[in-house]
Amino acid sequence: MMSSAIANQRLTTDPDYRARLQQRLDSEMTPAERYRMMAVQFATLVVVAIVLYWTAVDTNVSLGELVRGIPAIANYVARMYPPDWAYSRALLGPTIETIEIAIWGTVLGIVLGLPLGLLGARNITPHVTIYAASRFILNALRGVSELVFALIFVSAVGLGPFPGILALALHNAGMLGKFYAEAIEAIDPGPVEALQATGANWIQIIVFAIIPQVTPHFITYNMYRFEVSIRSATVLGLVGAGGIGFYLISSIRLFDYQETAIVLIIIVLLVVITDYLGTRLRARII
Amino acid sequence: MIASDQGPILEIKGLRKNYGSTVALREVNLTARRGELIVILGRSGAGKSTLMRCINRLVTPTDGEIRFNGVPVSGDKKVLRAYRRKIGMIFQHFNLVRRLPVLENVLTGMLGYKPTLPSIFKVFSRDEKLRAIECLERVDMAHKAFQRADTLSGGEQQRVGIARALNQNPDLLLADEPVASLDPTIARTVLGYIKQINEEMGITVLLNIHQVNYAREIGHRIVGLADGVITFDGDISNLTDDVLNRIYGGKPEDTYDV
Ligand SMILES: Nc1ncnc2c1ncn2[C@@H]1O[C@H](COP(=O)(O)OP(=O)(O)O)[C@@H](O)[C@H]1O
Ligand SMILES: [Mg+2]
Repeated sequence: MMSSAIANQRLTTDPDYRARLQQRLDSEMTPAERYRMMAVQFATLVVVAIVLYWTAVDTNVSLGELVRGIPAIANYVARMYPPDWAYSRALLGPTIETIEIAIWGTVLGIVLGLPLGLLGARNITPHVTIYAASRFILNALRGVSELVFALIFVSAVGLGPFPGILALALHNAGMLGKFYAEAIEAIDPGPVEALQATGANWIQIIVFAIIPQVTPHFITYNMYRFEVSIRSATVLGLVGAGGIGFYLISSIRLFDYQETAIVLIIIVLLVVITDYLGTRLRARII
Repeated sequence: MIASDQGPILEIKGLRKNYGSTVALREVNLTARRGELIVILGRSGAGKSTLMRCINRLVTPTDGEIRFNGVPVSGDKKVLRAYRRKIGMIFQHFNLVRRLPVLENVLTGMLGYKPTLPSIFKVFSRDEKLRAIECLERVDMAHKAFQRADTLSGGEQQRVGIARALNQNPDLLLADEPVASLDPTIARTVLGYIKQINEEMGITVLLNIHQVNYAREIGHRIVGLADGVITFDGDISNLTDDVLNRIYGGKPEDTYDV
């Protein structure tokens, strides 16, 4: 009651307020539009439900089968005990190799992603064609999983950590480049304009107005990509691209459950520790 | 450009700017003599910022001619650089690079004179740094030279903005609502520095403002802008209520009584 009385008073005394209110009301949906929107949303929901049902049938998703499988899974886990602790000594080298792959996969990813990111940022790209080309390359690199890249490079340069590094580098370049471009597009345009007004050229504007604004974001994201790369590097070995994953796949194929257990433990430790350290370090930078 | 030290510093003829279907400037004619301080008065949306941005070509005019020091302004890169560096600009939101120290911000004022290679590595000579400090002294900010820009108050940031513009060694200073984000006491200090720069250094100043009381305190010549057209151009003493009505279109309450 009170509030509507006040609102009415404002309406009568303040012509500007009345105009704004009118404009606001005009911008809202009419009842008919609202019903139409609800109908569209409901139809979408039905379509999604149908698609989910089809795909479930097609991929044999079945609760019954999962329940029937529980004893077999339990049996598998039971055979893993006790883990083969002695085998961990043999895994030291592969673990270090995994970290090395992640380091180089990230570094090369940065080197490749940086120019693509700069050229793919709408507000500083020298030309729209270059912008479009960079964005296309970045999307392609991002769209292909590192495992697919690894398969390709293994057949091209042979087994070992090097194809793994190349695979990670390409995928990382795609992820990083897109992030760089978007961080640059999100900067405060004020300083850029101010430097344009002084007569500064393209490179000078990048050095003085853009790099200082984006550097902290870039550093933290690079660190985050390194954490993700550690995780990816643990599975590259599945396709023969180096690291600890090779030992995981061999022990599984040889039905050596206790070895499988220790490999899994090391992988989990590696990922958890890098995530923990990375998160703390990044929190300190921001 | 040094060729014509006589004659007006700035001549604008038939300037027009459209943003899509919005007409921001309709038909602007304006001449500024050397050493003048011109206050451009108009309510928000009148086209004041657009006018300034056309002058230093941060936006490209749709039509019309602008001559600076007698030379027509073109979009050619080399010409543009030489011409922009003689025109300083200060902004409502200061537009400093917040993560950089004050001194580096002031040094960016001379990028228009500097070759690309040393600027990539942020190499500045001792003399260049001393010059930047001198510019800071003009606005009493030299004691904050090594502090990061984002540690300063709004008024202090605007003074650094003025120092950056001075470091361009400009003939003309464009001030686009430089005090609109500052409270009245600080605003008067900042306007004081701008007036001082005009009087002591002889730099021509165009000052955008939307509040009449500030205009009355600082200006001699007032140019009134409304809907992209100049509706008044004359001495402050002729700024009657009738004229204000023409500039503000009879809706003065939020615009001129602060
Ligand atoms: N970049 C732009 N794109 C589209 N319209 C714009 C742009 N800049 C300004 N305008 C429009 O041009 C008119 C004048 O704006 P502006 O020059 O900013 O006025 P003022 O500085 O006096 O407030 C306004 O109607 C504004 O909405
Ligand atoms: Mg404006």
